[in-house]
Amino acid sequence: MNLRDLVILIADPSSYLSMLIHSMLRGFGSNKVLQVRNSMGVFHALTAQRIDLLICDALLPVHGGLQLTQAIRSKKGNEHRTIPILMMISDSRASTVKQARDAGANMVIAKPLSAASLYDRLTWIAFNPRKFVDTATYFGPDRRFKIEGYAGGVGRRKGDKVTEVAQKISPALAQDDIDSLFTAVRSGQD
Amino acid sequence: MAKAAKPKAATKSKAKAAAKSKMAVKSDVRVFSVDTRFQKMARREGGIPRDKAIEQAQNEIREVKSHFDSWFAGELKVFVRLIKKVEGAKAGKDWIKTANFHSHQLRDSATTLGFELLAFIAGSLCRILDSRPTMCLRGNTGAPAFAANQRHPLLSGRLPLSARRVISRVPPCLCNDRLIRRFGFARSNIVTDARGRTGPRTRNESNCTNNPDQ
Repeated sequence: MNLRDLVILIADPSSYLSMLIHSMLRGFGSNKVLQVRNSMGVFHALTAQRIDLLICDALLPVHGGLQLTQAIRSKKGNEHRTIPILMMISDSRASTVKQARDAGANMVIAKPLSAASLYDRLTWIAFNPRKFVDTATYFGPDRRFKIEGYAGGVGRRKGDKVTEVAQKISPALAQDDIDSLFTAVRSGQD
Repeated sequence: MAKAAKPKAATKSKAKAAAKSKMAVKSDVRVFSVDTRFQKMARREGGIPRDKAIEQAQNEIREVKSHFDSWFAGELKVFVRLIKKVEGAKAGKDWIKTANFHSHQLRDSATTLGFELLAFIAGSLCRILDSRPTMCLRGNTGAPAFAANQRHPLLSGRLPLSARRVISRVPPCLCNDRLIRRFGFARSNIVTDARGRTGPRTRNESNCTNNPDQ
């Protein structure tokens, strides 16, 4: 992943945590990183210059990261409407992740961060782009990450095809076969 | 018959209208591909491989570590000031929000920097503060006073008996005189229930057999 010359905006109320994230991004090869402490700062930065990626805390004062994301996504004619947003959350409950997803965040990362987790999330955003969905109630990246069949076998979208998922009957391999595979590997055979 | 036919017709027309509106909503849905500048640029050649990038990031973090002491001292000062305010009943209503914010900051930065003990302590504090309003433990920060100030119904002994399964006595370090005075009980008479809530021991609980302290 090449982050050189990309403008990344970190929006976190904590100066020290921002500094930590900034240092990680520097390590990844990024050379243009901006920091803001509140949502007003984000709006100022977005209007003042082009931002390529927003890394935003979910509890960002004054409005909160989720509301901020919704505001960015919902404003028609906004050139930053499709900007990739990586949301940092302090509690990784399913409900919080769902809220971030429904607000329009591209990806969620749980705090505390590690360099590896941050790198992987950024790689995911860069190399696995998702289509954007524009409806009356939602604007943002497609919230479906993977399709494992639909309720009743029929999807809700026009493009959804009928999926036929085979019934699970029994394990593909018998336990004896699995054991023999492991013993072969242990004894150094292929 | 005519009377019965009317509502049927009405429901049919309603269903038709609903289907039409659904169709309209469906036709409004737009799905499109976006290739943002971030995605284009990040996929360029000449990037840093993952392992090297992470190693470099960790080196950068090590450099930032040197600023940690001064920042940590500032955070502790904030905590001490907040505790004093709360104990003196001068804190605003959002003191718990402030405490939560700072404890999360401590936990997040300590974990990222690899300060395990601090991360553990700050993480425990986060859990305690997150579990409020049932919170009435203080750890080492004087929180029983906070709890007593909160006047939570759980603390006033109004908990239903069914929910008050006694597990153990509250450890002495988690009680303070103010809490005891408030309930007018000896320290050993304050108990925690299955959910970790604290309150005065009731008569039934005195005979409870699942209390390891009895």
